[in-house]
Amino acid sequence: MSIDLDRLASAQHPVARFIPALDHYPLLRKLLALGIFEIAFYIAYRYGMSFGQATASPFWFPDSVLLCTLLVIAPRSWWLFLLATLPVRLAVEVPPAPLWFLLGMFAIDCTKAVLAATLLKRFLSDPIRLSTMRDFGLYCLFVVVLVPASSGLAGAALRHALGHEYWASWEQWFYGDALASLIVTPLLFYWVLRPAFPRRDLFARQWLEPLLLIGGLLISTHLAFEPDSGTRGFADTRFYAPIPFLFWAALRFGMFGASGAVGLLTVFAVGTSLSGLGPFTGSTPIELAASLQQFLLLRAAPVYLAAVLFEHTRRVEWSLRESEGRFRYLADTAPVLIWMSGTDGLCVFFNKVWLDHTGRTLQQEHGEGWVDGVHPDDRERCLAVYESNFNARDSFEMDYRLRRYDGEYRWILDKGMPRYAASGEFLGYIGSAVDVTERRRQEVALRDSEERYREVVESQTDLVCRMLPDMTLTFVNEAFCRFYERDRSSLLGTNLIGLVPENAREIAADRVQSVILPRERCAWECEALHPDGSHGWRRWVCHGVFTPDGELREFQVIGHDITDRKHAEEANRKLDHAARLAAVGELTAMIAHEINQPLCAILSNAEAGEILLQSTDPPLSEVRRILADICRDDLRADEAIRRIRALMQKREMLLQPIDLNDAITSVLHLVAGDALQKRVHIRRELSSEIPPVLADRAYLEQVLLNLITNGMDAMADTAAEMRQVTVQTRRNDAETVLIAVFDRGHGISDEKMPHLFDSFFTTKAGGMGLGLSIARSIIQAHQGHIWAENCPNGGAALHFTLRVAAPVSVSTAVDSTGT
Amino acid sequence: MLEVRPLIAVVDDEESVRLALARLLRASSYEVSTYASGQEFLDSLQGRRPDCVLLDFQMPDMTGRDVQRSLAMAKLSLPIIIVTAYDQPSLREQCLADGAVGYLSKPLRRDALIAAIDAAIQGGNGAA
Repeated sequence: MSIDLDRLASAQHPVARFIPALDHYPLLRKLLALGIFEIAFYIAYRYGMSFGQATASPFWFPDSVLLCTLLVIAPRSWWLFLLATLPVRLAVEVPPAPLWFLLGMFAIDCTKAVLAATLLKRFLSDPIRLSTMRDFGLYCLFVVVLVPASSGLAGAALRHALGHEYWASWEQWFYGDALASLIVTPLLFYWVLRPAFPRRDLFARQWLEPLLLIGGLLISTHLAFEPDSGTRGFADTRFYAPIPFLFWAALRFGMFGASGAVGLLTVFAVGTSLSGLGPFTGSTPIELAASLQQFLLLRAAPVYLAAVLFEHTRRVEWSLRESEGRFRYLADTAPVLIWMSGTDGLCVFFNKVWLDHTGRTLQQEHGEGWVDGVHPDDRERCLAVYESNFNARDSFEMDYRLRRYDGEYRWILDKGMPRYAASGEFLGYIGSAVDVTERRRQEVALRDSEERYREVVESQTDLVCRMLPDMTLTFVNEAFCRFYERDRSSLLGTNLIGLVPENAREIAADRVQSVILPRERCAWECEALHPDGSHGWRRWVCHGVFTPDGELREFQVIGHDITDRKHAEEANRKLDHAARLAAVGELTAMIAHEINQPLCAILSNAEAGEILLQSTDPPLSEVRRILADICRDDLRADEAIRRIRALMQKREMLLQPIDLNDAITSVLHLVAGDALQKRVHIRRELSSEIPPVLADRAYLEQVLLNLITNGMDAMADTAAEMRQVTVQTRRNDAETVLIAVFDRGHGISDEKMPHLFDSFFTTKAGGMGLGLSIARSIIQAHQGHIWAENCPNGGAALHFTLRVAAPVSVSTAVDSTGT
Repeated sequence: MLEVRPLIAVVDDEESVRLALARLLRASSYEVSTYASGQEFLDSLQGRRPDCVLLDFQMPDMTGRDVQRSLAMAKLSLPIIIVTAYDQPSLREQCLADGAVGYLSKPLRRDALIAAIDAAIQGGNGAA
């Protein structure tokens, strides 16, 4: 049985148990302590002085009592207890000694006690426990050697002043103090101040050994110090009988047992010597004291040494056990699976978490039993990794599937590393594992998602790239690589500017930088240099990618090939130009027609007037009429020129998103008066679900006005109650909106239908025939279509389409001649 | 015996032109009848037929060419002089091919107009 004496540190000293009860009465507590100290010091002083007045006591007990007291009370109270020893010194019946001697001894003893207590408190981890070699060594150095030796110098001086030999006095002083410190003080430490009694429950169960020990000690010491032992001398075996029991006490019960056993031996030795019995009889008092001191010194020193070694070993064992306990606690409570293997590679330990995870016992997992829980597909790899790293003494990390208690295989990430003893000896491996199933699932999902998006990006025909703020490429998609006929590795790290034609670099760089401050997407079109050297056009959309802190991280740029669109626009421009040229021809015809009519009238009138004036009796009234007609026709010509100039004015067409229904409503307000006059009912069928359209509002209203007016004019011969113009809007398809104007006139004949939108084709007297041709040009400039058809129930319908608004502003100049 | 003056039909949708030409032709000793549209002229053929027709080419509803075709379909042969405010090269050939005997562009000078009318009337008399 190994009694855990350190646990006794929690067992309170009776006085310590008692005194805390007086926590609320500090003064009473202090007085009680002082009283107890006075009594103890008196007893020790009387006992110490009983050895003879002419020699120093073999054991100066008062020193031990005083030292122990100073060690347990607060230093601020030391002066009180030190002073309390003076009355005892003065009161105890002592041989006649001068007061100065007593006061000198008082001062030396006080100094000795204060010095010893201070040194012990300063250098020992626990001054009342000599449980380590270091503490015991320091205790011996300070309290057993240095303090007695140094105080002995002063004490010997005092004795010398009384006529005693100096060094003999010093020797007696030194040995007396040293022995008391070696025998009495530890006894007080372990039996009075903080008794290290065995635990009652343990003692109750294991009572036999202490009883045998005590019995053996008593018997052996009696044998060693029986009355006639002095006649046998020190050579007799019985004299050494107590020695085994002393070591038994030290090795089984540590300093507690050693101090008790030595104390018992001391009591016997001193008692028999004082009685004139035992092996020390026949000596002079000085020789007696010296013999006793040497005897006890030689017994106590090795026994205490053995006890300290035992304490040290026990403490180390306890630390190891505690460390192991801590490890086990951590191992079983940490949320990881822990395992350990020995030097042979076989597993010897699995923590609770591992066993709970697998649902198996330690015996089942022991050795290579854990392999049964590994997924069959992973076993071979798992063992290969483990064995190869084990043999190389390398750390490793591997993932494998481990069967859980419910049969499901869970992915485990296992990390193992070699472990070594403090001496460097290889002890085996220790590893920890965590369940990473969820993490793997998320990783797989993330990978799949990333792969999906990557496929989307890589399959794009548009060029997609990412670049740093300085336009260094960090990502390019497959289309980008194909376009520039370079592989990804040669593109990444290069500057995008290098791929842009020189004449477009400035605008490209400017557009990219314009994203930073407003943090908006920007788009621009610029020429693109194809790898084959041809030039094309590309529309780039750029936006910044910012960190959560708002710092620009990258640009993302997407380039869409618009070469075909640009070519189409160019073709359209050429067509427009051709059409414009044709219109110019038509314009010339229009000018000629509008001017020549009044000129013809003027000329004919003038010539007629000439003829009439040549007659003998010219009809002056007729001539006046002729002149008036000439003036009128001249003004007509001027009016015609003004109309032509108005039509000739170019106005920029600005397409932007507009509310179509709102524009129609405005036009209907304009024609309301005219409709009322012509007794035409205007009906609206305007859809509320159409989006904004891309149009120039003024031009659009011009077209609508023309169509609505045409519709009203077409019903000039229709019965008044039947006259109705219907304006309708609806969504045509995803990109266009349809507008229709219906009338209830006589419709459009098959002959006129093909020429309806021709310039100068008119069905109205006095009309120039430009309304529908201009309307067609306007609608075509809006990228829409316009056509006419007859309604099944009579009347005609004019339809045209407009594009749904997109966020791009396109500027086109439209010639009011309709080109 | 009273001299029967040739009847000239002036077909033009422009009123000022009709009036001015009528004055000029009357002053030039012709009889004139004016018509505002081709259809009006065709409807008038039930009565006295003109000796010459001054036919405006660009008219609403029925152009001068439409009138020519209608006369051809009705097998009515009348001397027609096409009058146009906007002379186009192809138009001249086209009108002459359709049977016109003359082609004049506005503004009309009297001497050219009278010469064309006389030629048309004589040609028609010759044919008749």
